[in-house]
Amino acid sequence: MLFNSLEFLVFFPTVVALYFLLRHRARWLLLLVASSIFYMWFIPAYILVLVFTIVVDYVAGLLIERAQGFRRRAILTCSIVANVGCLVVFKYAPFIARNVDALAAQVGWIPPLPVIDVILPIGLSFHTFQAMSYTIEVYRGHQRAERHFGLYALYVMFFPQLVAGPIERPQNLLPQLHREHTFEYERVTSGLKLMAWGMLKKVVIADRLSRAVDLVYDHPGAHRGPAVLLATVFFAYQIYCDFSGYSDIAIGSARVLGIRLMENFRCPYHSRSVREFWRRWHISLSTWFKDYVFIPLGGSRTSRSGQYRNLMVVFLLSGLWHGANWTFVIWGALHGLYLVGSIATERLRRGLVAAVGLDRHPRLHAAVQVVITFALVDFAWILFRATSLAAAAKVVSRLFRGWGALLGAAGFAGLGTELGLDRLDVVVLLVSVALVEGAARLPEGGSVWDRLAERPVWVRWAAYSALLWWIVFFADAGQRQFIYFVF
Amino acid sequence: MHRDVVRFVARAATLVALNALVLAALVYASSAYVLRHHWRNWETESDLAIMPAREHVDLVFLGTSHARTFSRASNHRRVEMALDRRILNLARGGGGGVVPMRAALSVFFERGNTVDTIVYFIDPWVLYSAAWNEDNAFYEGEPFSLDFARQVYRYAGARGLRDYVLEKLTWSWIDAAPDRTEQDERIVPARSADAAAKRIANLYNAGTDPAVFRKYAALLEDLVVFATARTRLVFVIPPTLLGDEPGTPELRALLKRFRSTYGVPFFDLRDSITTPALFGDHDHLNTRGVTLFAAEFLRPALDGDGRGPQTPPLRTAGAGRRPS
Repeated sequence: MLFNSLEFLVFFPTVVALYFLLRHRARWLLLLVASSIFYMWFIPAYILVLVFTIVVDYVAGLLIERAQGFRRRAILTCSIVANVGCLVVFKYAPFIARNVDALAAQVGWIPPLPVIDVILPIGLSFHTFQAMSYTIEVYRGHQRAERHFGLYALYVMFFPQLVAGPIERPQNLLPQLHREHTFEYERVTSGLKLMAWGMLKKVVIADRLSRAVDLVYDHPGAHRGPAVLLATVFFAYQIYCDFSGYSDIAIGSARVLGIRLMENFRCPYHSRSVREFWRRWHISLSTWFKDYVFIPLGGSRTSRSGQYRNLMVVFLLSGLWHGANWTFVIWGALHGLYLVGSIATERLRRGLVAAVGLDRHPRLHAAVQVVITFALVDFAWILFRATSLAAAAKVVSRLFRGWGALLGAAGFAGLGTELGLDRLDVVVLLVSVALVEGAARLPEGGSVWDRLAERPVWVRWAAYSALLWWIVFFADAGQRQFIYFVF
Repeated sequence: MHRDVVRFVARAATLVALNALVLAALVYASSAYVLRHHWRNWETESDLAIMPAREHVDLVFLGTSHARTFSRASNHRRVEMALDRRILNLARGGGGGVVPMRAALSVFFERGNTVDTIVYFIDPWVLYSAAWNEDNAFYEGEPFSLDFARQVYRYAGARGLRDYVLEKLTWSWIDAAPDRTEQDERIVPARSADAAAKRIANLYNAGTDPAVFRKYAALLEDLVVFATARTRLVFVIPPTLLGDEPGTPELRALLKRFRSTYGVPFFDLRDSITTPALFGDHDHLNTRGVTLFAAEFLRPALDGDGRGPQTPPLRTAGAGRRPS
């Protein structure tokens, strides 16, 4: 079930109403059933994959807690193998088989491996990682094994974050599932406002931008450099609004039910370095990799070369997590190289900044850093969006062509046509992006909702109504799936 | 908690009610504003803008743009003169399939109107794609009315209803102005097999699935039952330069069954006009073609009171013959 669907518009209020009508004892069952319905709306049979990993990890948690030494580690390993095994079977097996076949063909080995393309169970990468964090935390002694099977199942399957995160930690989510939550006006309305905000980002901005991006990226050879560049910039904002919009809806809907999920995005394109970007983008995934891969490998408390190695491992894995395609692997590797490069050139860059006097103009310096960081991240997004390495190369090669045609008013007007956006689209996008960016850049921090709460009731209600009408009116036609659903 | 629930429900209900009122006011205001033009059939593509209430008309036309063309470019008055009858043209351009026609006909009768004869200009391709039926945005360009909104919801669901309502707040709707084109002077210099093939591919965009045909044939039969309970119905297969269209034998068989079961006659007038110069494009008559067709073929068919299973063309218009 998609958040941006009429079915969810019926499903969610029904679940909320029943949730608060029921006694606390029965609520976990309601949420579990609702989450099952939510998940099975896609391909019902794939709930069996979820059930498998839930049973394995529930049992593993209990066994790990009772075990000692080598046995403890062995059980954890079995649990991780089972989870990663699901990922391999459903997500990576076709990719592995295709690459082995290609390699075999190079060396003249005739029999090819069978390539069985299976539809990826939705949200597999997300709930698998969430399940693994449970067994790892139990192993580390940071989390007690959950005795209540239903609550453990709900921890994995909680519908607001089931298919696209945030990837939660058991220390945060499990205790909240145990606690009773009451209907609190402020919390519920705050959750609903966040959901509306997420919808704005998704259906008004992301879906509208995706039209232009798809047009260019499906046929890059047919477009001029300016269009390709704009489409690439658009994609950066599309994926941000799509994914952060989903996270907002997930966090907002959980908040309505009294559950606090972790923050997943923090204005990532305001970052002044790629390192900072990864502290603001998909925070739940980057902290997962930091806690369970980077730090166990030694993190930064090792030699310089060791640190570089650890960074590359993390980002190669992160790329692979996103998809079974070389484009994602290279994307991850590129980010790894960015980080390695930033560490390696730190002194050089500091010297350069001092030499040109940028350090005497902190605001200008910050702006330059933000622009450069965005350019680096956006360049990497080309690989993320392209369907193949060849397609990505095509996009990059087109970036530098056809700039002469941009001269003159007609050139710019033609750009809109080339991107499939009319004047109304441009106005809607400008206003919506200004809203989102304005809310992110409020002076003295705070949220736009806190500021609104200080205003008279008629102003607040007019603002809420205007936001809802803006969404209803300018939701892009066509129900587009969230980008991260395919991971 | 109880107090919070009550507070939430009360405020949410108030917010929803206020917005619903504002929306209703804006939608009705915009519709009223557009209707200030007092549209005539040949000035608009809308059915509701020209739909009377509690009136009698001699003929109601149903069909796709092939039938709407009898009103466009001021053809409406010419056709009325040729047929010597008052016509209400409810045909719909942009693929007015069975669903839009069923919806329009329902509203026509619900408003207390009466008609002597419904002439349904039926094309085989409307029975092969949802794009001409429930997926067709047949509510676009229609002023808001509750009776039509019910039909929109019935056939196009909640999404269609939302689009129908919200379109009333768009600039393109509010800015609508009468089309005062005097005549369609386009001609087809010569029939092009390539152009015809491209057009057919466009019209049969979902292929020719027999299951789809059966689905819309059943809906067409529902329309036949509905119409014949209230008035006389006649089917006409309109003229075209497209040549053999897929599904035509199936359509003819279906119309024959309607004739034998419900007494509804049909006239296959596909080959009545074959001169390219009488067409504006490969499947739409131009003004000259419309005038000639109405006088020489449609009028005899209607005046003949539906005698015989297939009234042959009285004569082939122009010197040209349709290539085989």
